[in-house]
Amino acid sequence: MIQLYLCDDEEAVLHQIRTALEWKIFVENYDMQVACAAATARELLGAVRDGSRSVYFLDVDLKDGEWDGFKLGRELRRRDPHGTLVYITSYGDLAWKTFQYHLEAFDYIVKEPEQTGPSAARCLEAVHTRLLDERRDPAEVFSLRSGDETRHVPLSDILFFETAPKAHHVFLHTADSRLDFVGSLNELERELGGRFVRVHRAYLAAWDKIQSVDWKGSKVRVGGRECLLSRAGKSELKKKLGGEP
Amino acid sequence: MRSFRHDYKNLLAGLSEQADEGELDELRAALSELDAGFDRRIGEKIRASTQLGNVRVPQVRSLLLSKLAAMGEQGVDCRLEVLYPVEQVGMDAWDFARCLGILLDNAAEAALETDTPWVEVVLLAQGARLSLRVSNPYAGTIDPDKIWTEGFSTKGEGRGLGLPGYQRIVAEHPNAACSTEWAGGVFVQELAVEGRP
Repeated sequence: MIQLYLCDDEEAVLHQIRTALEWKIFVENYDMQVACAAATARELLGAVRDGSRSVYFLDVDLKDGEWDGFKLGRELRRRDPHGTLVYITSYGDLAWKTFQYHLEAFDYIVKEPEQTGPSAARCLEAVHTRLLDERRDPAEVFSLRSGDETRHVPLSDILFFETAPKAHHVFLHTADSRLDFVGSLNELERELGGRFVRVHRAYLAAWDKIQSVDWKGSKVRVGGRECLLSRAGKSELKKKLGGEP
Repeated sequence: MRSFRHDYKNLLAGLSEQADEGELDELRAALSELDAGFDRRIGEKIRASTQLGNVRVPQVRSLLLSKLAAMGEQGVDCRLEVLYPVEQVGMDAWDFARCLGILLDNAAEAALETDTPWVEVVLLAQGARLSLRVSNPYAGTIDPDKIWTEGFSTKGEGRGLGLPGYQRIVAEHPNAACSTEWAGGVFVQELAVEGRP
């Protein structure tokens, strides 16, 4: 049973959304329930349970002491990293990209007369689909920490890690990104086990993305890109190749 | 020579002279007039969902103003988000403004090669950490090994000189990190600066 949490300081909005969600759950027979409809951030936080993979509908404009919509989202991310965040907004006041990038917020609901209910119902459908997909095909993710934020990159997207010129910094390479974060290849090698091969002091490559090895030229082709190959790396590769059935 | 000219133009867009107390006040007054003027004329063209006024670092605000205005005039749809006030940037403000200028120039140039050019700037200040994201659509393909090469641009050799300059500035600041993404036809540059708490 997936738990839904609502937080909006406008009584009317809270009621409209709750009603719309409960109706949608009933009509579609979703395995979901509205666990709590709170008017303040503190009330919501009191009701939330860590790691419950719940869905949170939060007012963008929320103001409750030190809490605002963004900070509340950030705290909920901390407590329930795999939770789904949906924001409630009036058109024009949402810094949507900020919420989308920095909180990995899933979607938003517009609170305009006549639109609030249908918007909430549509959104719940999208959330439901996504959660079903996730359950059916849970993607293993790599959690990339930068400051207070955690960004999730599907493991299967990672081509290789590379030491960055900046001390203690590592680049994560996928087919369409190069992300910089604080880390160490040694730690990553330990953490990620057999799925990655240390082909060079500065490169940790995804085993299943290695396309070809240039033993003489000391290079490896990984997902269309080139990584250096050291003597130690060569023996690592040979070891792994030797172990293949 | 070319990279100097490129940078210098960006610097002129900001405050380019050291000023003493009295002049600083005058400059501030002039800036706020400039702000008001720009807001009135360019306001409609810039879809800023939170105030530009949240950028409290003068060099950065004035650079943003002039760049957004210029992009607006070129027909680039500009979007700006500054959720929380930006009081400091965690690194030399001039260097930051220079980086921002380079990123915006590159973003606009690439965007203009597409059918619906737009550039989006998201600034997020959280405690001592500042994150800058500049996004734009692009045409053609990105070769990740060539992005940082001197003189590279999707338009051919000799253009887009800014990027290696940007790299150099970021390399000089141990508390700054840059990430790049180019999925789904959208190019995103992110600069994260971890200031002293």
